[in-house]
This record gives sequence, structure tokens and C-alpha cells, in this order.
Amino acid sequence: MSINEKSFKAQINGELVELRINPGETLLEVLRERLGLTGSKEGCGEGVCGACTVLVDGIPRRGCLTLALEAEGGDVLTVEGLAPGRKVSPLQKAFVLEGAIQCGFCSPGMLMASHELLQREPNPDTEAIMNQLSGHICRCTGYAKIIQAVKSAADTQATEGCK
Amino acid sequence: MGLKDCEYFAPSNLSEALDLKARMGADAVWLAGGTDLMPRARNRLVNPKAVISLKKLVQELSGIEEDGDAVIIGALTSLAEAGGHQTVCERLPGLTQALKSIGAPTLQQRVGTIGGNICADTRCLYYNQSAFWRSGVAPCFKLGGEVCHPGGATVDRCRSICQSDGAVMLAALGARVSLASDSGERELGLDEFFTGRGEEPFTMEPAELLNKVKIPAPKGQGSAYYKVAARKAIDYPLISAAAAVCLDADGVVTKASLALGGVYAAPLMLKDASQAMVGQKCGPKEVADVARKAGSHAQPFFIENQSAPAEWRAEMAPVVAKRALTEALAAAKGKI
Repeated sequence: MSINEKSFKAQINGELVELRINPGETLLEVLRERLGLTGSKEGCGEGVCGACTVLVDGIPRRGCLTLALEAEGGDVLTVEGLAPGRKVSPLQKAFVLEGAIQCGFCSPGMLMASHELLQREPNPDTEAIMNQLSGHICRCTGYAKIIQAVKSAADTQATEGCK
Repeated sequence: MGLKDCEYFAPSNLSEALDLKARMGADAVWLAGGTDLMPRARNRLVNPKAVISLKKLVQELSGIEEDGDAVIIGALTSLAEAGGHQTVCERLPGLTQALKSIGAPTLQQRVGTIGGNICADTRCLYYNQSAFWRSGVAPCFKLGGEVCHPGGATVDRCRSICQSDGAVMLAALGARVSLASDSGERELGLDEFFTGRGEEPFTMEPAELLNKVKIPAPKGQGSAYYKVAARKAIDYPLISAAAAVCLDADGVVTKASLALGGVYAAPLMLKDASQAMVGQKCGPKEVADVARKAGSHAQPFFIENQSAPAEWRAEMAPVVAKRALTEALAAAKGKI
């Protein structure tokens, strides 16, 4: 049986995107394979590792477990959208400076989850950061540096806010 | 590909959704948060011809309200919202513990729903695997075959297990679910809703949708949920216990219930064991006796269908039972 393609329209990193897609496609497939946004990674494909996390209307979702059509009409933010062009956001910069990145595979998910936390809670304590990142697996850095990076990004945000 | 050859519908209200499901029957599946459906679909354990997304029904089917001695939660209420709601925290502390223990903050907690958690399919070490992995073994009962891999030759039915934290706590609390269809609505206790059959875990017609759950929250009730899992986040329970205890003004137990999770295709209610608490004042000794009895009653249900050995899980049964009962009693004492 061949399935009719459906139209898919969403704001992706601030840009209106219109496509014809197969209704069974996941958001991650649309992002990576149709739009070339390969920042989000597929780690486990079953929602366990967190590497594919993107924000849909501000809420973190696993790209691999979300049908693209669930995000139809929505506002999708991926790691590419954290800063314009080839720039990096303060959070991304903190990840680099604190050595929170090694192989980098978990980083897009870690960044999106941390970004969402900082939007909600500009000055989170260690427990809140650990709680937010508890659904994300990193096999290199051992988490300590990632937590440190989120803290330092929060500090930077706070001082920049005062200026 | 997430789903192969699958249509997608997103009806804009409940009656439209129910009409559509009545027409399509078992060919279509409901999609709420998708955290249970999508991994199964990706493993080709479920191959729907269509999904009916409930995303436009969130307003209609979510929210928490008090109705006298009960609390009613809409099926599409997210786990974070239900578990963190003030009414639930105060009147049903065990449910808060159970819902908060599910999954991860950036996944199940925000998009997962309480209805979806109740309807989460039963799981087994030999069933929840990729199509490639499964191609190496004969199809089991749950896949329409005639063997239960962990059960061995003596087992004649599916021995997959209910790993929903919410359902186990709700069963201990004596919750009832309401099932809506295009021809009306019916209410079922969770003891009837769960069939106990791994092949078909729920009493639910293809046309039906679980639209709300009603949870008794009488005065003097304390509840608690205790879960053992490999990690605090993401993981399903290796074993868990849910307890609900009611005390009268003198501290005498008037009602007690205990359910184990991660053991059986339904929340395993240990009525015989918990009944022994009723009519007396219970201290650590009585609780330990009940927990021991519960553990021995649950013994036959443990087989090698989980990532932790059956023998260890059986040993942990009285431990989790004792912890949940002790905490539920303490919570109840705080309320009289």
C-alpha cells in the first residue's frame, strides 16, 4: 500500500519550512534527512539516550520518538538554532570552555535540555541540573564537566543580565 | 522510518476522534505522548495502518479535579502535571511518587500522559527487541506464536509484565478508569481493566479511549510507592510496591491494599496479605509480617523475563513491600 504524502509546515529554528513528508516519518528523520540539520543525533532510537532531544513549542521532545506531524504548525528548536549562523550561544561556549564535550554525540541533546532548563530556571542548583539531565547519557565526560558547564553558563547569563 | 505505511489523523475534538476510531477499529492506534507506542512501532511490535493523534484533545481531556472523596485526572494530563499537582501531592502522595519515578524529565515527564502510562503495554526481555533480534527466536505467545521464551516448556501463556509505575499505584488506590466510545462511556475498576493476560493486557474495545481516571482519596488515607530500578531515571521498575492504608481516629487500620509492579501482566494485588492489617494498630512487626506474606504469595510469579535475576527480584519483593507499607502508614498517621 502506498501512503499519500502529507504537507508539513513548521517554524524550524525561526524559519518557516514547508515540505511533503511520509506520515510515518519521525521528526528526527525530517530534520536530519530532509533538512540536513544533522546536529541532532540518533543514539538509541528508543528514547533512552537523549541525543535527539529538540524543543517543540519550548518543550523538550525526543526527535526519534516524535512523529514529525506531531510538530506540525509548531515551533521547533534544534541545536543549530541556539545561535545564529556559525556563532555559538553562551551555553555552547561554556560547554567548550569547561571541557564538557569529548566525542560530542550527546552534546546536542545535553545542550537542548540545559537550554530549556535555563529558560525556565535561570539559576539552577546542581540538583536541578542533574535532574534535568538525568534522561541523557554521556559515555565520555562523566557528567561532572557538563553540570559545571551549565552552572557556568547560568553565571554568565546572570552577570550579563546585570550589565 | 518511524512507522511504515501508516496514515496520520489529528481529530480536533473527542467526538470526531471516537467516530474515527469506531470506523477504523483495531487498524488504528491512539497516539498521546508516544513514549510507549513509538519504541514498539520502531521495533515493529505494533504495525498500525493509522495513528490517531490526540494532540488537539489535550485541553478537552486533561486536568485534575476534586469530586468529594475522589480525585479525577484527565487521561491526557502529563505525568509532570499530574504528579506535581497540589491536590495529588497532598491527597495521593503515593501517586506523586509513582508518577515522578517514570522516565526522564526531558521525555516522559513532559510529554508522557497518565492515560498512556496506564495503557503502557506489558514488557518482556524476549519481546521488546528489534525485529532482527526476534528473527533469531520463534514467535512467542504475545506475537501470536506458541512459546514463552523465559517461561520454558511448562508455561502455556504469555508471561510478560506490567511495568507501568502509575498503574500499580492506581491499582493499590482502587482507581477506576472510564472508557469512552462513540456509543457512550463505561467505568471499570483497574482490577477489571487489567486482564492479567500478557497477550491482551487490557479490557478495552478497539473503539474505546481511556479518557479519565477516578481515584478514591478518603480521609485518613496514606499512600506510598517504592521502586527499585537500575537507574533513577529512564528505567522501568525491576520490582516495585504500592501501598494504600486508611486509619480511623484511633489509629486502627480500616483499609489496606498492596500491589507489586514489574512482576505480573497486571499490578499484582496482594489482598490476602494486606487484609491481615485491617482491624488492628500496625507497627513495624505487623508490617514485616504482611510484607513477608506478600513476598511468599508473589513467589510463583517470578521468572527470568527481566534484566535482573528472578531469584533476586523475589528476595526484593518483601523488602519493597515493607518500605511502601511503612511509608503509607506514616503518611496516614500524619492525616488523623
